Amino acid sequence: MTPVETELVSALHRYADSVPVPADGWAENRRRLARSRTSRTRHRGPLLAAAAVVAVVAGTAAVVIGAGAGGQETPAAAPSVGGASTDLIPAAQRLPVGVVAGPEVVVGTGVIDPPPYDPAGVKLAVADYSGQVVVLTTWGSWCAPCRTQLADLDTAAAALSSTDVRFLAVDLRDDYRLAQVYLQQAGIEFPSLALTGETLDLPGVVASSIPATVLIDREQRVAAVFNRPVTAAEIVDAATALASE
Amino acid sequence: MDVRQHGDHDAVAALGACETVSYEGLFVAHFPGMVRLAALLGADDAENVAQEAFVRLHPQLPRLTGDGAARAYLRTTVVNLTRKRHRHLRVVRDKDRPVRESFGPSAEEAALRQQPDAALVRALHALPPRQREAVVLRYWLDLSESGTADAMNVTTGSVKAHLSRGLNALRGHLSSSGTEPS
Repeated sequence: MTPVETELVSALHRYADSVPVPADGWAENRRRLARSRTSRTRHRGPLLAAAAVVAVVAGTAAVVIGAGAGGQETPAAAPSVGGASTDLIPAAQRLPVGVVAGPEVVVGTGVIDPPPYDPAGVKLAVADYSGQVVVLTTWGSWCAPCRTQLADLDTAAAALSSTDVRFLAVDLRDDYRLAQVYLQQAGIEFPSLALTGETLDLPGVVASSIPATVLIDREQRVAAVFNRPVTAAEIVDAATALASE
Repeated sequence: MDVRQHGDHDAVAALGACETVSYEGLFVAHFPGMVRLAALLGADDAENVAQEAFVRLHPQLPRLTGDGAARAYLRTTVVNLTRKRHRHLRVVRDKDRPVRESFGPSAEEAALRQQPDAALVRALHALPPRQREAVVLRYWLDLSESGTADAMNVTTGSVKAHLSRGLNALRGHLSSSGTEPS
């Protein structure tokens, strides 16, 4: 080996040794493996997953189970479903939605995008939809299943366009320029609210495992929570049932 | 010649000579090495590349017998993922999309800033990808020319060519080249 090569070898080693290696690599790897397995199961059995509609019927109990999970993706306890295809929380057990408000993410023009939102501008708020049935979904441009979910909900929104069911997306922890680009590219029709700073105050929603979709009744109460991806058909059924209450 | 095996000696020794190495054992032994390999190959998200390589290794494990095969699989995957990442970054740059503006300097860039060999490392990163791969696999990982060829999925002949060109390009940034009698 020539002196040049020897020097190169030691320089490469010095550089390599200076590269930081995270100490929690193994924990992160467990998470990634779990995620890759979950997504595979979902692909295999979307119908089964859809049939197991939600322990949300358990009302507030579901809130506790979901919220306590802390990143662990334990599905809520065995559903005590009454056989109906859409399971709404009985009106008496519904909890009111909290304050969910923020500026709207402006859809890009594709050429030179305007700023993604105007922090001082008009705010979108769930409270503005009082008297209407709202399908609210959480997403982020960084979350692949959420992007798919948004596109599916857009289909559902088109199917429900003749009703007074409204759709609203809540964009969490995002680079809102990327959100803007995605909304434009995917042609999502319903508005997206930039949740900047505020925490998400929706009873039953596990904000750490989005996408989560919530149905809100005309009295601004949470009528169903899906802490998982939902299909367009599922949402159309559930929202139609809620709208006809 | 420095014969260090990128810091995995102890961990490998701890595993003993058992035939079937556990996934966790492999991870502990080779994760740091794979992060460093990705960084040397110029990945701006070296940890992510290494993590992804292990996620891909997992379903393949039953088919790979012995520590050597798993290691070779990891190396090839890191090389491929880094290539892919470079292609992606090129596309993004060409489209002039704001992608990582909101992040600070990458861990790799931060490491580079405290480097005594910063000029050499920059020159390494400026090499064409194949030359950089050949140099890193051959001189840092101390793979044989045929091992390097396998990891890069090219022939031994082209490894030789990439190596000599790469070395020539880096020569100017190494001090011994100046003191060497020609």
